[in-house]
Amino acid sequence: MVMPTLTIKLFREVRHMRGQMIAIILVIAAGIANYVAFQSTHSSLVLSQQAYYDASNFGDIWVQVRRAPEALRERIASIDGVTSVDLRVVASVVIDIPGLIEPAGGIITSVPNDAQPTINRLSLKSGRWIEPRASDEVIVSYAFATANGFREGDTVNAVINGRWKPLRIVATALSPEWVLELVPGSMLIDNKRFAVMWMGHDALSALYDMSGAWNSASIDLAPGSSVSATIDRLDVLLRPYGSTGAIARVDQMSHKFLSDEIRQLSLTALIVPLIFLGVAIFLLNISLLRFVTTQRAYIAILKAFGYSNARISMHYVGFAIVAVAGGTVLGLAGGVYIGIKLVQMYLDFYRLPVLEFDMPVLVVISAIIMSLLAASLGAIAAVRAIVRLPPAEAMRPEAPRSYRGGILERSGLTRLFGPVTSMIVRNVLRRPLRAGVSLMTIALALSLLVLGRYFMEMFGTILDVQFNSVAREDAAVTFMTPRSHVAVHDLAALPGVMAVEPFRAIAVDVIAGQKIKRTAVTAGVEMPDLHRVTDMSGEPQHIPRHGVACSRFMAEAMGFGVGDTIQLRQIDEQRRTFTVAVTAVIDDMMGVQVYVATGLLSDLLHEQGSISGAFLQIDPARMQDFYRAIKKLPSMSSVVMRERAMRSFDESYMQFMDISNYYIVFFASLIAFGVVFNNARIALSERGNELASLRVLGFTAREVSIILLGEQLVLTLAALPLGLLWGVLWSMWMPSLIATDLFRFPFSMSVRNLGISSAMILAVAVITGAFIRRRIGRLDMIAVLKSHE
Amino acid sequence: MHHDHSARPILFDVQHVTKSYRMGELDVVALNDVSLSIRQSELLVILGASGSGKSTLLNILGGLDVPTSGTVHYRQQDLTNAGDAELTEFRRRSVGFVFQFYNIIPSLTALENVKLVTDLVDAPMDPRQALELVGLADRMGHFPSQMSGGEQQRVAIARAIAKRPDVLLCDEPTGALDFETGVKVLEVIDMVHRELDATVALITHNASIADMADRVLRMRSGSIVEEYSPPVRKQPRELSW
Repeated sequence: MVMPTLTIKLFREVRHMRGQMIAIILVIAAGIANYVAFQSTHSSLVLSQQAYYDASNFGDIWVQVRRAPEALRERIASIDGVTSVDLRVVASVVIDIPGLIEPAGGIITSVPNDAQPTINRLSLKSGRWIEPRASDEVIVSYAFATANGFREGDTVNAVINGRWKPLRIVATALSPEWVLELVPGSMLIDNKRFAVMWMGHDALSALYDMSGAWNSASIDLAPGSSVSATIDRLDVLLRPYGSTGAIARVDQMSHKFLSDEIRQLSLTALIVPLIFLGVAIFLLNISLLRFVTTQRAYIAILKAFGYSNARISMHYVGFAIVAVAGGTVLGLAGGVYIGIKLVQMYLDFYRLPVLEFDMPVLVVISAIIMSLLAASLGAIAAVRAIVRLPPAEAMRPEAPRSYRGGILERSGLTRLFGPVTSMIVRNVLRRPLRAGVSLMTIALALSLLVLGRYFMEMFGTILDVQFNSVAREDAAVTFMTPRSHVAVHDLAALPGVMAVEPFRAIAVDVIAGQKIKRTAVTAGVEMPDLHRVTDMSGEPQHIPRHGVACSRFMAEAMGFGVGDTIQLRQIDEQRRTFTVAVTAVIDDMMGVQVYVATGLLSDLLHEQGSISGAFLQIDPARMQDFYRAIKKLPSMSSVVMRERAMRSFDESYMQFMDISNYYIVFFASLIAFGVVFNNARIALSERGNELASLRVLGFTAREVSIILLGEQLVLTLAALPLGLLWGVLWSMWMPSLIATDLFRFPFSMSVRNLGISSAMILAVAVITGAFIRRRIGRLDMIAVLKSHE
Repeated sequence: MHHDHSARPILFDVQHVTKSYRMGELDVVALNDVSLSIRQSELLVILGASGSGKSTLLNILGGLDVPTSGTVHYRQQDLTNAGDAELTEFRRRSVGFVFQFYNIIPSLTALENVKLVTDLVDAPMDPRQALELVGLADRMGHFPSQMSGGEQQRVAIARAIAKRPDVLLCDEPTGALDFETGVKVLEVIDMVHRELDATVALITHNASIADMADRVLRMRSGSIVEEYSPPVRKQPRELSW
């Protein structure tokens, strides 16, 4: 088949305007790649999580008790909806890692002696199952083994029931209960100093004198059965055995974190890329509109020959199709590449054994259709404007624009400007729509840069608030069970301890109307100095003497506020309920909590100054002595050191977040480049005649460049405030979208962000200017004068 | 050698045509109550200075523009109230245009520029033949930027005749050319007129060209001020300016 001549024209002109085409293609590709990458990552995580949970038979309900007999198994199994029950022994241990001075901790969970548990099955990464009669064999988590370089055959020393015992590693494994290995009671991931381990049931029971007994149960429900009804039955049944209340899967820490992440990703994966794609599409629309306008004379000729409006429109839609096709191919390739990288990164963080990379077809198709539609609309709008003119009129150059004396002339400013400056200013002012559109596209590109950098800086802000305003202690210790106030003196007597701030925390259900939320009530000292309650900006918050203060996120989610009363139901044998007044809400960053004054909590609990743990300030010079001493205190369930908490926070969250944010900044820069380049390039083709005429009149290439580039610079500078404003608005909107009860994201906008983003846009403008400047030097004056296209 | 066309059928019938434009902020009357008829196979030259309204008249004849008032008929077809689709069809079937500034598409070769038009119609001339006819057999693969002005104008003529139009409308075809090249282009137009028996309307400000016409209309300020037939119809070679 012979190619229609119009198609030849299309391809040849696409090749001719390749610079501009490449810029447009890059912008669309950035939009699509970003959209596809984040959507695929989201979809892959959802599928991988589901596949893993299915394969490992992840539990539906967990419950911890102090000690309960095996005989209860039948009673639990007979509860409506329960399909299987795993009874286990779970113990916190202090471990000693060779070469590590500071104490490390871990959790050992029992598994059947000779087989996988029915619920929460392990995935062995290496090694073998435990020998049924072995008393010292453990399976350790893959993350812990990797972080410390442990292999099968290595031993770890643990303090079990007050005695050091060497444990031999026989396998490494992943568990659906530990997709994220958070140190209990904190939000830290510290694979080097926190061990998740599994041991044969008989061996572990023997070590803890739990033969015939258990302290942890994992339960599977039949599909469709009521989780809350089962939890109520379990709580009643297990209350006499020291149950702290059963929790549903949604409250299981590892699951909650992963699910929150997926939920946040579903929003960021939708909104940020949609903003990107939207900007790309807008740019594409504008670019084609303006490109087609420069083809005014050719369109008139095609009409004169008898080409129909529809044929001519299709021809220009062809340019849109080429741009979108190019952008799609590049965008999909980039999107898949980045998507795979992102998924791999997530899998380093979340330990899922199954990776199902998935690129939803619908996402891809929708991105293509949106781009194509926008491009075609841009092309058609421009063609329509031209074909509506009689061809004879379209063939003539446009009538001179109306230039009347405006504010500029009346103000007498023109006398100050030379003719060149006047031309620049008039060109901008007299075509306000076109100038406005250029300005807006540049502003949009800038706003994306601000948003991208906001994400990058936000995590620095979190780190700063958390460790410089909130958790300023050197160590946080938590006891296994509450201690009397005397323990404060014991802690103060430890080597190196300079200050002690005790705290009391109890688990409660917060009840407001029909809504119930399981969380903790905490009470610190009256004037805390080490560990403070602050808002998201790091400003210390006052805890009222009367009533309670609540996290704003919880108050809003549960629909109460200052002046309302709520109920706190203690999660223990007695299940006492207190009615308290809410006297403050606090914009805190992590977790959802109820804060009370110490005195009030003691009164409610009828206890005299019991403590759950304490925050310590330690003399840096005596840190090693402190470590040695603390390793000998088996009554502590956890010790969190500030230094290593910060490091782990930085290593796990920050580096992880940084990478995805770099992508965002990369794409934002790409779009900024495409926008600025296109604006300048189109201005050059629109004004080629005028500029060549000036050259003929004797203007130097440099002077002519100043006119064109000066206009671009004016527009770019004018776009800065608007772009910064939009960027700030995007950044203010984003945290509210991705807030969860584990984490809220502070809004903060640094001068640095605004400065760097503006500088990047200006740099792009200057580089583009240099490129356009070369083109102006090559303007063909004679050709321009000979034809009037 | 004067041809008498008075017996031939009327191709264009223009009655009391007025055309005004809005140019920027001004209303410009380009044609003021113009009436004329063009008969089949005649070579009509419309003479006039720039701004006399001759281009406007040509554009209306060619269906590129419509009058503000008055009527225009092509054979039995009323072009006055024709819609865009009808005018498009008219241009496609019946008219070939040659413009002062050639207006050939820079991204297409000579041959492709001709093909652009032959793609449109059912029984066109072979584009190569059209280019041979205008003496460009050896330039077919050249792009406009590789050709002289005269050559580009001949491509434009080849493009105009390749679809075998009933009428060839030429708007200052020699306006951008030097004398020698201009004469060559006029020879091609004259040859097309004779050999294809095409009706030709040619507008120019150059009074010398009037001598090659069957009939001449002189325009000034949007009106026809004179109409005559040259006593001796000259060959383009015999013209001088």
